[in-house]
Amino acid sequence: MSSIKALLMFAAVCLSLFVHANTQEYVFINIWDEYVQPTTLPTPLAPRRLLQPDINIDEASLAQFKQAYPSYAELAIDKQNQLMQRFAIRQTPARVVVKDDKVIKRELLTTNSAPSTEKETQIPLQTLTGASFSIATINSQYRVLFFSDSLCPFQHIPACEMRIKQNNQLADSSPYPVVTVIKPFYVEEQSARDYQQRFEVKHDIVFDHHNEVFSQFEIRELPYWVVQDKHGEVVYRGNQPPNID
Amino acid sequence: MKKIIFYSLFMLLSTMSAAKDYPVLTANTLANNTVTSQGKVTYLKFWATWCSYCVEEMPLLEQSFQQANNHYQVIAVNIGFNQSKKGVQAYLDKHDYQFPTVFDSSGKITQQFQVLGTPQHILIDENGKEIYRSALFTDELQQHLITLQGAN
Repeated sequence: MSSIKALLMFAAVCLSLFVHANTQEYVFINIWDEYVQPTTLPTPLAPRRLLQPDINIDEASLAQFKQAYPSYAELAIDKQNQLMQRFAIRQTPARVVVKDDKVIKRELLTTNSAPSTEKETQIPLQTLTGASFSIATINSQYRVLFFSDSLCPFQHIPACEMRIKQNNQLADSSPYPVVTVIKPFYVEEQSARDYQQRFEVKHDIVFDHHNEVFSQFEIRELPYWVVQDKHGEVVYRGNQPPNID
Repeated sequence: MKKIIFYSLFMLLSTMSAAKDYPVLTANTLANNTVTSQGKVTYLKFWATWCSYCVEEMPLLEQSFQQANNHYQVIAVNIGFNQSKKGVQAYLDKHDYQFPTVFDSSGKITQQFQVLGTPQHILIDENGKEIYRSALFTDELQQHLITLQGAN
């Protein structure tokens, strides 16, 4: 009896393999959306490949996402968007099922929750250690401002690791206090704390919750330095470490 | 002496190989005008409405367009990924942006210019050779544009 059961199971597996032999399912998600609106993954219709479009992504960000969402351990970057182009995927999350090189099913997938409509509350500026921080009186507290991004290393922040190291050295030797201001786009304050630990930053860090310090100083590229004199006049701005002897 | 010539040649070749050439871009804008990079210094910006950095820089793009002084042209390329023509047009209308915008519905323009991230700024000369390329609106990009604006 048990041998018949085993035989039937074997036959079922063989049948399944036969059906799926030339069939593949591709699921395209965008990790930056997944953090906000996770996708409801449907039951696979064939062996599944999970893919992230090659847009605004790098291996470090992918690894971080996989750590937060272990069910996406097999997620891979669609290098140069080759499969996106091949299957004309222009929106995520989506899946296509391909059999013998022909798309037999294509659909947009649903997400678990709608974006939050809660009104954003104003969070006062302060350093990561809880000291108050004010744009109006910044020159009495700090002369050197280093604008950075906690997503470093990332493609839009060239040479950021080297610049952060240079800024740490500057802070160690500077006669004036140095503060690092972290861009709030795509990240939360915890990301600034991780940055502090990752780059062993010993001076003050401010997470610019509402991008107000960046706006005030019209910072357009990263990483970037601004140096003020004691009257609050900007005496240097640029992407190279300032000379503050 | 041979060494100096060798290194000079090496440096020259390195510089030459670093400058990328791009094929001519000819496309229709959302306003249904045809734009082409053929024979024109062109400032391309690749962007999307969901890209916070792109949106933050938009006033600078508009300013660069308004001040071009016929010395370069601006083409904003919306990368078309997780975007709709209608949504992009609504965004442009809301902010009254005037720069020509191409909607890259197939993703081919984005691929042609090897863009894998937004924002992406590419400044090319009249032969399609790259003058400058950056992810953000850098001081160096601004300097290139200012120089072009003042060119005779």
